[in-house]
Amino acid sequence: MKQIAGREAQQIIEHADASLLDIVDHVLNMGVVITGDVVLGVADIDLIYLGLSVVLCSADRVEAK
Amino acid sequence: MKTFQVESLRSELRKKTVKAATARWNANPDDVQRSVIKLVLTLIEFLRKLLERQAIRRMEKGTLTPQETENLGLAIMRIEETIHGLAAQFDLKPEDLNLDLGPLGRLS
Amino acid sequence: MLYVYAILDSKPKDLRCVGNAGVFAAVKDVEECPAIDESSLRDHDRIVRQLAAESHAILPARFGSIVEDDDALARLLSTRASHWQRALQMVAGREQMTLRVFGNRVAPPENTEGGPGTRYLSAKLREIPSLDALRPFVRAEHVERHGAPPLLASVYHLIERGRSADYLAAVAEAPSGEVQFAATGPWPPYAFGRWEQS
Repeated sequence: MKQIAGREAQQIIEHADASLLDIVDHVLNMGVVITGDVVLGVADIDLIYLGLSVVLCSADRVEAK
Repeated sequence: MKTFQVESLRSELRKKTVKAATARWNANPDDVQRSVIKLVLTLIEFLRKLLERQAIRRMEKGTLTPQETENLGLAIMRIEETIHGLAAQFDLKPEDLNLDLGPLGRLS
Repeated sequence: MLYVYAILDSKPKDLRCVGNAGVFAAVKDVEECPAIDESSLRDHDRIVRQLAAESHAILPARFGSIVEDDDALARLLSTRASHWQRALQMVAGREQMTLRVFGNRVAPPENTEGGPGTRYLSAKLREIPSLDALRPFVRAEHVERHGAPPLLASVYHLIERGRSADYLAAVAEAPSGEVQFAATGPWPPYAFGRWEQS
C-alpha cells in the first residue's frame, strides 16, 4: 500500500467506540507488512524507493549456532 | 474500559496510527540541515531502542554478568542522553525521532 | 492488484491464494486500495478471523496490504520463506490477547543493586509491572510502552487457542492498585508476524 490516508484514519479514531478503536489498533498498526518501502525525496517530490528486507534476531542466538 | 481509559487509548492511537505504511523522509529545502539531522538521529535512536530491548532481554534471561549488565546499561543510557542532547540543539523532541520503517516496524 | 489478508500454513477454503511449500497468502483481486472506513476495517478483521478459524497457523496482514500481482507476491513469499515458516511455527495453534495497562507512572524501585547503568535498565524493565498470574499462559509477548499516563502500555500476549477465558479470569483477579488492566481477545495474532522473536 502506497499510503494510508491519514485524514481518513483520523476521522475514524475521533468517533470510534472502544471496540472500533481496538480494531483500528490491530488492523492498522499491526499485521505483517507485506511490502516494506522507504521513500526518499526532496520538496515533496518522491525520488527514491528503497525495498527493505531485514532479519532481526538476538545476537546470542546467532552465536549459539 | 472506563471512559477516561477509552479516551487515553484514543489519544494514543491518534499519535500512532496516522503514519504512512510507506515510510517517508522528505528533505525540506528550506531546512535541509534540520531534516538530515532528524533522519540521522531517528535511525540511531531506532538502533538504540533495539539494543536496549535486547539488553533487557539478556538481563531478564540471566545471560549477562553483573559487570556486563552495568556496562551495557551505562553505555545505552549515555547514548540516549547524547541523542536527546543533539536533538534538542535542533529543536527536536524525543517524540520527533520516531519513523515507521515498514517491516522493520516501530519499537515504541 | 491483490489485497492480501494473511499468510497461512495451508490453503484457505474460500479465498484465492498464492504460494506453496507451507507458506500461502490469502488474497482478493481488487481494482484499488479500499478506503479506510469503519466497514472496510471491520470486514478486514472479520475475514482474518474466518481464516484463523480454518487454519492452524495464521499471520494477519495489515489493512491495505496491496501487491501488484501474483508474481510479485510469489517472489515476496519465496525470498523470505524461512522467515515466514518460523513466524508461522510460532503462532501455530495460538491466538492473541491484548492487555491495556493504565495508571500513573510507576516509580522505579529504590533498593536496586548495581550502579547507575543497572538501575537504568531495571527501571525501564519495571515501568510495566509484570503480571505473574498471566505467565503460565504466555507463549510470546510484545510490549509497547506509551508516551503518557493514564495509558502506560499495551501488552500483546500469544496464548494457546482455547485459553482466553482462563486468561481473562486471571486478569480480572489480578490485584489492582496503582495500575488497572483491561484485556480484550482472543484476536488473531496481529502483533506476532513483524519481528523475529528472540
